[in-house]
Amino acid sequence: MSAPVIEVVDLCFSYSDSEVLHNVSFRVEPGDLVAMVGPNGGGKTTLLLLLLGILQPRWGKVRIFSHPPALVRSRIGYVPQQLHFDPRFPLTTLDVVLSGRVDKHSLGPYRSRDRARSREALDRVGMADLAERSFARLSGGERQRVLVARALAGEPDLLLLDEPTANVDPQGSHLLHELFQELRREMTVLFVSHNVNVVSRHVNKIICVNRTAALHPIEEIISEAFTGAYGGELAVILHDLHCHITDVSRVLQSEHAGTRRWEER
Amino acid sequence: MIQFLQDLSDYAFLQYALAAAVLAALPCGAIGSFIVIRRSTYVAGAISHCVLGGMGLACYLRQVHGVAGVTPLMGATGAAVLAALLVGLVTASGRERLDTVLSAVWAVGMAVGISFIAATPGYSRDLMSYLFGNILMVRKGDLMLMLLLDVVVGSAFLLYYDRFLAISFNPLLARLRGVRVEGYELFFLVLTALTIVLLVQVVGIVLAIALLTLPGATAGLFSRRLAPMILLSIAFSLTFTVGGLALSYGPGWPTGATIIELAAALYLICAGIVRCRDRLRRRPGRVPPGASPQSGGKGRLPE
Repeated sequence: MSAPVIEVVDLCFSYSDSEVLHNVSFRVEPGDLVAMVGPNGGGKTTLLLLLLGILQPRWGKVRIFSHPPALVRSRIGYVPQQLHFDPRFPLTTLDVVLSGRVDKHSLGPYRSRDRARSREALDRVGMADLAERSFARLSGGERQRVLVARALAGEPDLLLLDEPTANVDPQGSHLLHELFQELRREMTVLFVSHNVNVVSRHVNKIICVNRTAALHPIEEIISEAFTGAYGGELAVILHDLHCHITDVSRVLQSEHAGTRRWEER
Repeated sequence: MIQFLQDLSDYAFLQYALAAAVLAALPCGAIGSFIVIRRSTYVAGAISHCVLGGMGLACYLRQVHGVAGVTPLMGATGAAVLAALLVGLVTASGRERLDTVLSAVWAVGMAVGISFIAATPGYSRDLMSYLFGNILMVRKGDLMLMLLLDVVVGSAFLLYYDRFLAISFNPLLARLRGVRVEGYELFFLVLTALTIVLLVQVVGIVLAIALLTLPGATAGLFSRRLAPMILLSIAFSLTFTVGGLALSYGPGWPTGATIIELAAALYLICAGIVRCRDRLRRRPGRVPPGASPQSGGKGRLPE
């Protein structure tokens, strides 16, 4: 059995007094395409930041490729949900994608190989024609696709995406999900989905996050009516069957709950 | 202007002044563009004003304690780098309010400089040249230091350009690509400090901030990409410093002030031209290139 790409064990995290994640454990294997779902405020983005090593667990451990996340960042591609940037910042689309390879060359300007990889990445998200367009002039959905290209340009082994299709039109969303399916052959992909009940049918695992988290293989339930409504590309998640998130309040009253820092124990 | 050209071949001080104008303009255009897009002019302002402390200390050590070989330019370099490190470390710690620290560095640096100058016999008259620059007083030794600073700033800028761009665009994304954001922020501030030292020689402490921002701002009117913006900014910097020097020489105007006035005038003219151009493009009834005549739009009359 190969080593897991992501291994989370007994993870607890709190912002000051309020506990956001409690006793989270799961493993993601190489080649998985994982959707992370859950209600707003349930801790999805926090969990993603813990996987990136931006936040540190109060308790438990996070390992990416068997190492702490901060040590393997060059192998992780990340696409944020929203990018805060100055709209007058003078960058083209290609410049933004190139910045995903900033760690791939030593010093001096980007090499021709960096430019080639960046253009390939733009092509994969269907944005090759807009390479020279000002990044600030793109629509929200186009920017999101460029950020996916930026992450791909870094040639990651693990791709983490925070609601990558939230601002993308249906056609762009379809294209991105097709791309994720294609990327499974090259890397492990985990994305946060903004839709609690519906995810792409291509995912093979789902992590349901609502203060605690549970990972399950996807159960596809596609009725005729559902297929008619969503085009057969999506699957329904029945949380009560697969994700035991309704008993969170009871779990949070167990011994780990409270305001003490876990490492102080 | 004509008298400047005539005298240029005869007077060494004028040749030194021209060389100083060119040496200051090159990094000014490059670093200045970054300062404009990063919106960190206040940081540059604090560092440049703090430089007076170092200049005052250098004068004091030289005159009162007989420390030979210490020049105001060296004092300026030390103070600028120290201020940059202080501002950078405070920013990285995130514990203090940045604007408060910048205001303190700005004012304390000037206060220390004035105190040292006051304690140095016969140096009070130099205060004006420190504050507003005197490019005609540049000596050969100053030019050597300026050349060294040019080489340091220029080569560091070329080598780390993409890192500076990445941390300026989005520090979090840069950090996740393995870039040591705090280290590069500090490094960029030090390069800013060295550029300010070059500018202080030309336009003085008070006016340096204008020369660090106006060329970049003017270039930004014409370019939506950073690399062409930097090249344009360097061209504008050269135009302002050399043009201001040449314009001020004949009538005997203060050179630093003339350089800044020329920069401001050209910025206003360019901004006016760009605004008129944009307004003409958006004029009602004008069909944008590539748009279908059937698509309606602002200029379409109601039926």
